[in-house]
Amino acid sequence: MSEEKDMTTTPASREELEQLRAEMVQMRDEAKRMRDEAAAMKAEIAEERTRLHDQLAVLDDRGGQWNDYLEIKGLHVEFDGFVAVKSLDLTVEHGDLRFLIGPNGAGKTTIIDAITGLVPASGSAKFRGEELLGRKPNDIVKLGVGRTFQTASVVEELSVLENLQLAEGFRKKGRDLFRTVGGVSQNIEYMLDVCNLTDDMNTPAGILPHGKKQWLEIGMLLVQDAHLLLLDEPVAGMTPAERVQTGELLKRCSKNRTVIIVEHDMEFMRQFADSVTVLNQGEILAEGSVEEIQNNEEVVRIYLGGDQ
Amino acid sequence: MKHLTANEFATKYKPLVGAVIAIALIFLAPAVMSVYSLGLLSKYLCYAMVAIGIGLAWGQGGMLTLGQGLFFGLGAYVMAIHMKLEDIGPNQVPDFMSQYGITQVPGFWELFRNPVIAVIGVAAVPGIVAAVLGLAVFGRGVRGAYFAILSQALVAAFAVLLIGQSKTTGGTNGLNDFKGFFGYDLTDPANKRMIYYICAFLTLAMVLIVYWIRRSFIGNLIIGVRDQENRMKFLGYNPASIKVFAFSVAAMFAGIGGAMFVPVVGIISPSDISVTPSILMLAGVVIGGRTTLLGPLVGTLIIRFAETQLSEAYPSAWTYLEGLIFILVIAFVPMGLGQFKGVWPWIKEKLGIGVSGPVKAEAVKA
Amino acid sequence: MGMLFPQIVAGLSNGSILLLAALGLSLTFGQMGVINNAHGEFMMAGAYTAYVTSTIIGNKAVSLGVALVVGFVVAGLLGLLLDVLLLERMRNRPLDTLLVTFGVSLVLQQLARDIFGATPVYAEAPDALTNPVTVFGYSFSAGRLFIFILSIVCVAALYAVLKLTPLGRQIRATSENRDLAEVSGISTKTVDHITFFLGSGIAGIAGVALSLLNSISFNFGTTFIVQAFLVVVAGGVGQLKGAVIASFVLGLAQSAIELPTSASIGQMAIFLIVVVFLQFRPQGLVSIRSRNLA
Repeated sequence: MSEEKDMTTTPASREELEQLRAEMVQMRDEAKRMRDEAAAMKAEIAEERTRLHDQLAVLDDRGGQWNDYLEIKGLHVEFDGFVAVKSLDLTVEHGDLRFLIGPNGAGKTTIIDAITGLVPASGSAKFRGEELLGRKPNDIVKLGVGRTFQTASVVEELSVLENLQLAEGFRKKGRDLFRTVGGVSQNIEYMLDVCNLTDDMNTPAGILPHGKKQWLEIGMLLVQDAHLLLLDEPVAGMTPAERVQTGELLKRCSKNRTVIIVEHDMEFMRQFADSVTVLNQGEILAEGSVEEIQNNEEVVRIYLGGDQ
Repeated sequence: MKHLTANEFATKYKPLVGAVIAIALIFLAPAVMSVYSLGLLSKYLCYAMVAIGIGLAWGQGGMLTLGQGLFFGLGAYVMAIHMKLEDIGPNQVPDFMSQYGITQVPGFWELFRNPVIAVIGVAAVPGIVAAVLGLAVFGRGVRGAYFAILSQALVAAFAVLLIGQSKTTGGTNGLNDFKGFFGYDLTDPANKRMIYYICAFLTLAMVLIVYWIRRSFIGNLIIGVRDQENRMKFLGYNPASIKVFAFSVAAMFAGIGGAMFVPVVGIISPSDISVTPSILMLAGVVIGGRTTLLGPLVGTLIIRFAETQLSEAYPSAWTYLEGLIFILVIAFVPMGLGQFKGVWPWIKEKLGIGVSGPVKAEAVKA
Repeated sequence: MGMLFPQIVAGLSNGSILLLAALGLSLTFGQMGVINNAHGEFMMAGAYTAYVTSTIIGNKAVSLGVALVVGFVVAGLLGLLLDVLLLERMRNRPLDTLLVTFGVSLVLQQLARDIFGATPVYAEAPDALTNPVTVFGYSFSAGRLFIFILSIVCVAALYAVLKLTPLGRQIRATSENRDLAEVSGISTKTVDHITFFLGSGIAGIAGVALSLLNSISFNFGTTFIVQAFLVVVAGGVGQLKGAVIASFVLGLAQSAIELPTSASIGQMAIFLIVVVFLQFRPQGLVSIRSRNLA
């Protein structure tokens, strides 16, 4: 206040006055700029918050309902007299992250093959009340069932984005097939983000590192709106860090979906499984939580024994 | 920044600029070429149409078809039947039929008397045959070498059938000695030029159709089916229908090429379409680069030009050269001229001209 | 019965010709995945070998015997050369071998035309094979009977080699699991070369034998190659048994259809039979391994 008084009392030269005024204008501008900046930052934070919220919500939103569960009854698969799966009953509920484990030849992959129409099977496998057996693989996909393979099977020549567009576009018909796919759809943008692939969007899938190829596969399942995800050894050949990331991703996916994973990696199973089914020679040996399985003597003897 | 906009401009208007240049070239040719050379160019273009289709089916779709002669032949015979009927007038039969004592043309001849049906038929007949065959073969998952062998067997059987049914097909001699083309005298140079224009614009249209297919969603589906046929099933697609589509388009292109071949060359016979000529229809695609858009066209023009220049003067040497082209190109430069596509950007980068690294990467992706 | 019996004989004879032409192909295609379009030209090489030996050796029977051996070696060496120079570097692109070998076939045909001329030549058959033989009151061409027996001998010999010898074990091991064979101490490269030599050599034998029935010209092989391919497709990969059955079924079918119609209809019918057959049994041809979807 005293300074101001000084300024008013002390007669100032015209130049000084001009300079002061200029300074004041400058300060006012500065204040305005800072206010704008603060507002922008606030908006950005809000946006970031909604984005994060969206990202978390998106997996839930696109998920299914309580009645989206898989119910297998009396599934039986035979190859030239060899019984690979022996009248098997298995129910996996919505929101479950189920691991199928068992020694080689236990029939883990065969179950997935049977559900997805790759091998002929008898019995019944219902998802959302729809019978899956006896349908063609491409029709089963339309019922919301998606699967991956042990070897990542992406279209190597196409970019990550184009692969995702392939996965997204199976409902396209007629003229839509002949349109150029312009831009990135909201769905794909979300899933790129969820699967940590946004930066690789335009990379040809063939040159992705192994781990990211598997993420792309999972991303493809998500954009194709699969509510039953069947994954065959998704973390084989991944680095420990990638395993954790994959596990967390699958965990998030499973919250509102049904996820079944065939896996050999016991550590991975212990970390992320909600429930476990142990298979041996085409039959279910045990079923339960990770602890229950680990404490099951027969399982330990046949399978876990060697591993621990 | 200026480079980027230039790039953007190039990407956006590339097809338009290309088409304008192509049209200019099409109109330039008659001015600088004799009627005879123009006729040869028309013939090359007929083969180029087949090649453009092969590029789609084989290069994009992975279906190695060794039997395009079948579709070429179907289109050609439909056109030849129509032109023959037009020449001889109603209630007459061609000379070779009267020699067998036939007094009325058979039903499948009569069908193509109508010019509209004939024009539709040159594309529809091969297209339908390809679709039926494709559904039968691709529907059961037959592919790769098996498909190649079946397509070869089919064209062999077709050639044998044409020769065997000589009473209605003209046998080994085929159909020849045509006078008019939809009422236009074939000997008139002006009409020959017109036929050249038809060939040229048909070729241009096919290139644009393939360009459009490659750019659209179905183009990615076709590549997906080529590289991951079974995976596509688990993405909700029926690979067979995608393959049938690409194969049928290729067949229609071949049929149209065959149809134009008849007025251009004046004869169609089983020796134009049997096993070896069918594989030779692949030569241009091999040289030009099977996966490129323009490779099949350019490659075919080059090899057919070379053929005219060399095959009469040095028939033996030409055959060796033809064989060596297949051997050396496929074994050592499988993508043909397309293999050198990356050379120009590489040189530019080495010399430091043009766009800088990251921008270029963007452009490549686009 | 009166009509049926000669027809069956004709069918069996056709089948044995198909079998001879397809046997080597079946081996190289089945074991190595190579589709050898020049197989017909290897047969042509065998046929011309028969022609050359017949001009050198006076005794026709001796000449035929020599030709069978030399034809095997000549065609086998051509195949070995092809494999070493070209196909070896294309193991992972089987479809492309089809086109490369087509180029080879063009070159070999032109080579034959330049060496032996465009006009067909004949290798004179021993008298014993030109006279008809009479069995149960029916007369057969002795040449066709010889080819029938030869085809059976070739199949038996090949079967014995594959099943009984260490070489055969190595060939089968390589085709079943290349990597495993490699780490088990088998030189898969050498095995491939030997397999290709064998397959091509059989083409040479086929060429010598079929020169008894046909005139020899530069396009000798093209007569057989397309149908031989069909036999391989219908028979299934790597199945000697399949090739044998397919040859005789197609041979019988062809003669049955040809008789009331015509040869051209017969050939079309063969093609249709194979396509229809594939509708019911594509399993032999298609195998999806779910773990890697190869």
